Amino acid sequence: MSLIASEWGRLWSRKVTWLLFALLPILMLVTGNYYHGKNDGIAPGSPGYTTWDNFPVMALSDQLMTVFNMILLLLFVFSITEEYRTGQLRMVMIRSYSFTQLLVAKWITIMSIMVLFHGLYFLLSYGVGGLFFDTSPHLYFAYYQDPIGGGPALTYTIRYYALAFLTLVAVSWLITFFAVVSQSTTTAIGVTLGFLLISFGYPQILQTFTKGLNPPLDAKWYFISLTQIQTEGIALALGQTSKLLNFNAGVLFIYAFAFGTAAYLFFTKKDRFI
Amino acid sequence: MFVLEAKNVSKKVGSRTLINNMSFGVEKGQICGFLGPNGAGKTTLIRLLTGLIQPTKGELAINGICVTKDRTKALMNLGAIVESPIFFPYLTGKKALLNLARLHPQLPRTQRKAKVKEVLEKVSLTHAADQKVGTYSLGMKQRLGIAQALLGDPSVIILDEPANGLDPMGMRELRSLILQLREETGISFFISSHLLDELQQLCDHLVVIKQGKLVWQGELGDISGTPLFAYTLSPVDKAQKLIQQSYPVQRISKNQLNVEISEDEIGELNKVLIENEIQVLSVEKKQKRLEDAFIEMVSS
Repeated sequence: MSLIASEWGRLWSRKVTWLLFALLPILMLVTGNYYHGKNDGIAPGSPGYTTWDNFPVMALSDQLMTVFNMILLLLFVFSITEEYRTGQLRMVMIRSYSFTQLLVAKWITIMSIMVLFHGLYFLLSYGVGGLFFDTSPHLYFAYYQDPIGGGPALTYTIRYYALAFLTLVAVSWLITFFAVVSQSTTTAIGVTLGFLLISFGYPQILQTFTKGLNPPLDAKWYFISLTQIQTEGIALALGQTSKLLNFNAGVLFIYAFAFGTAAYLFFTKKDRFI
Repeated sequence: MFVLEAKNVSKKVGSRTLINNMSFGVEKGQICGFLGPNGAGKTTLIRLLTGLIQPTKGELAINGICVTKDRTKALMNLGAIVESPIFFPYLTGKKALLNLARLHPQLPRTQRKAKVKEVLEKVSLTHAADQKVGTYSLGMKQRLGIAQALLGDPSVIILDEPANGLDPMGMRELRSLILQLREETGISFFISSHLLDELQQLCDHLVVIKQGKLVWQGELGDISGTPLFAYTLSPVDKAQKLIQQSYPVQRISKNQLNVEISEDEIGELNKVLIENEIQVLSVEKKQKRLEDAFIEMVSS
């Protein structure tokens, strides 16, 4: 706990952490304004029409793959790569804690900050949503044939946010791995963004190369991509007829386990500090 | 029991042997200097002592606790600055120490602030406690480094080249601080440095290494070996040829020779010189400098 408290204190002493939180309301206002403008061309009650009830989901689905992944990336790179490469981490490493404890403490600290961020985003989305949109008893979420509203809409939103956080857990271990192995913060950021970009482009490329296949390619192949799970997989899993929930959960677990194990092995390597 | 001990320690990386079967010990209350030319393995050994890397063979212990087998327990007795004191520049000196104080389980929460205040006073940094570490001079960072090493009430502090980059005033302050801490608290120090004159003023025990091997260890006074006497003679060439038949001699100026000879033998040498019609104009005892002794050791 002391190690986590120490990591927590250091992360919150950085201006960048506060800046990321300060950006939240601005981000929310911009997103609200965007969807407000988009509503002009859509009839109320139609699929795609944004209301106060579904704005939190719309706002998150828009920013999960970009903003949230980026925030996670910055926090891990500052906490791991920068501290290690500048030598700041030595001050902690020569204390009576194992390298495993240190890595786990850093991960828990950053994910705790992400829980805060996630929660604040959820609350702000209702606040800002109230400024731009009216409530509606009938609204459509993605992959819903029938409209829902009220309590079921809130339940859907909470489940969406929960699954979104699970995808961030998987992404966090991927980022931890790159943060541990990279020689500089620039490399860590570059390599991670490159990986996410490939992950984003993969479904598009797959679709191009498998167009016209008969029978068509199993949809599961598309959801090997982390970003595809973030942009579409959550909605698919929470649809009126849930699809690929177990498969996508399995993919997330494999990413988390594989990159998490690799990060652990590299961080605790015997002669890492030779 | 030694506060710091290395027993038959070796470290190999691939085919390279960085540390070769090294053994030494630092006693309680000692200030031990750790010398070696560049690339000798000083920083490698310090990383081994602090558990940042593992030895290929042998054991390292702090207060009798093996660093390899029980690293977390061993480090509770240790304070250290490895390579250089790098702090979190966005924190003030006080906040940096409070942050690190959390990592000492033996320091209760209620005592952390008082401890930080105490160590800041010891290193004379109270006036700068609320300034960001990023604004500190190198000397101030070195002192803050010692302050963080003191947080856990260690029995031994390892300093890796602490005087590097310091001006003469800074070196003197650091030296006074180390001596004062040893005097007041009995803490042992293990200091690696290239600054031989500094170590000569500070240390009472030395460990000298070369290419990963121990070449000498002992009390500082013992390193001088056979004393040197500066002879002013005429004619000096004839004198040099005569003396070097029996004693090591070095020409240092037009009419001066350094002769390695014990005090008991001076009378006999003077007699031989006079019998050979060599004038002995003066004889002066010289303290062998640590630098001379060190260069002799690592050059052989």
